[in-house]
Amino acid sequence: MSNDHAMRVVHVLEEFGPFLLGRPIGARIRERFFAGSESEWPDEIDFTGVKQATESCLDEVFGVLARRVGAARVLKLRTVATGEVRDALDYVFGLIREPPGVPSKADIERILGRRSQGKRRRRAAG
Amino acid sequence: MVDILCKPPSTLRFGSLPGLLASLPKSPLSGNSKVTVDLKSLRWIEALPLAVLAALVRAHQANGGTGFIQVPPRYEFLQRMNLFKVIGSKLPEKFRREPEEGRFVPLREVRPGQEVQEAAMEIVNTLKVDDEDSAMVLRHCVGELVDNVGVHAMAKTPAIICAQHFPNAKRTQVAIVDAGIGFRKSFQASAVYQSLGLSDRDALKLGVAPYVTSKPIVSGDPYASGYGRLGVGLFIVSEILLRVGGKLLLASGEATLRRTPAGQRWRVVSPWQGAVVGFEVPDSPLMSYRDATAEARRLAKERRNV
Repeated sequence: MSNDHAMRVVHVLEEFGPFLLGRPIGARIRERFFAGSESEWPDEIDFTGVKQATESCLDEVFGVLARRVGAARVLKLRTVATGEVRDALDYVFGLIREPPGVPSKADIERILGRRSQGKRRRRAAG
Repeated sequence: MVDILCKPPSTLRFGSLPGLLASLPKSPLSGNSKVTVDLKSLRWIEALPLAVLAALVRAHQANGGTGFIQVPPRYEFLQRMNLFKVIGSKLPEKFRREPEEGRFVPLREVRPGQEVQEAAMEIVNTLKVDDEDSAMVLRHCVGELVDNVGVHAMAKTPAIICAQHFPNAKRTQVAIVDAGIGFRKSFQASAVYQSLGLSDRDALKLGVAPYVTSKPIVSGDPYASGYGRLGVGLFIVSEILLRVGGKLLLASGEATLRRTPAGQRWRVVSPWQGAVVGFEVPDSPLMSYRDATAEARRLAKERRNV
């Protein structure tokens, strides 16, 4: 008995066209190729011929899968792409490797340019 | 029935939004009211203010009110942009419709889901955008922004979208306007933000910050994926637009933010219930789409690590 199996390759262009914009089409891609169990997932997702893919679309495919089954399994997937689509994939896979955390209250206060109560008190005391 | 008459300025450009909002009744309007928008002295109107007027009347109608537009002597452009069709008003059409190609994309309602892709493609295809980078920027921005409306707006009526190409100014203007809950209420729906006492301006600031999302995790929500969102789409759109020499205008509640390569400007305006998003893309971008996107993503990562 062999553990070898034929590599399963899916071609995105054929079914979804050259422009992948927004989350709805990402959800359709995910449902089309990754609806089954992990053992049934394709090994390679070929984006050859796809000209543009937004972060939100690719996050809806790969980010959602990573949040569902864990980053390690998704990072094993092979993707074939060039140009802007390669850039977008690298960006989204980078976020899967190092997910941005949910901003804390202090982060939000910093974004809003507000000084936290603690800092104000310390400054007043110092 | 309460009669409300509003008279917007006679010249309505992209940057005229504060003046336009100041001339409109404060929303939400009572369903027991009749709104008349007096455009009799209108001389010039661009896509963004046109979409705002259409969204105002549509939202008011959805609340059970009635809305009318008083037209200027020559109203062919308004008619050609489907203003009367969108608000359900019938006016005789006394001209031959010239093709839209290369000039404008008339007002239409856009719903979330499949229409994200469709709306983005329609604008680029109809306007026959020659420059590939300009086309990529337009597709990217429309795709991300229409997507946001679907997730955040929670509006009774679909968003309104339209676009216009200005051959002399060599730019394309796109408007996406909804009469939903707006940025502040969208953030306040999440427990993380409830105790922060956000103003409308705070909410816009958070909206254009990287990796900040108003969407809480909602299990089983098929559209929002049920696993939260990145919260980076509007940030990247905004940064791409600045780098290619474009403009972005956001309005929600009583705050507006205008970003151009020359800087950004906040203004307090008459409140708009929902969100107004307008942007312009030059026919010849200052930077390629690929480089602009790479810089925007790099900046997002840097800000994350601050």
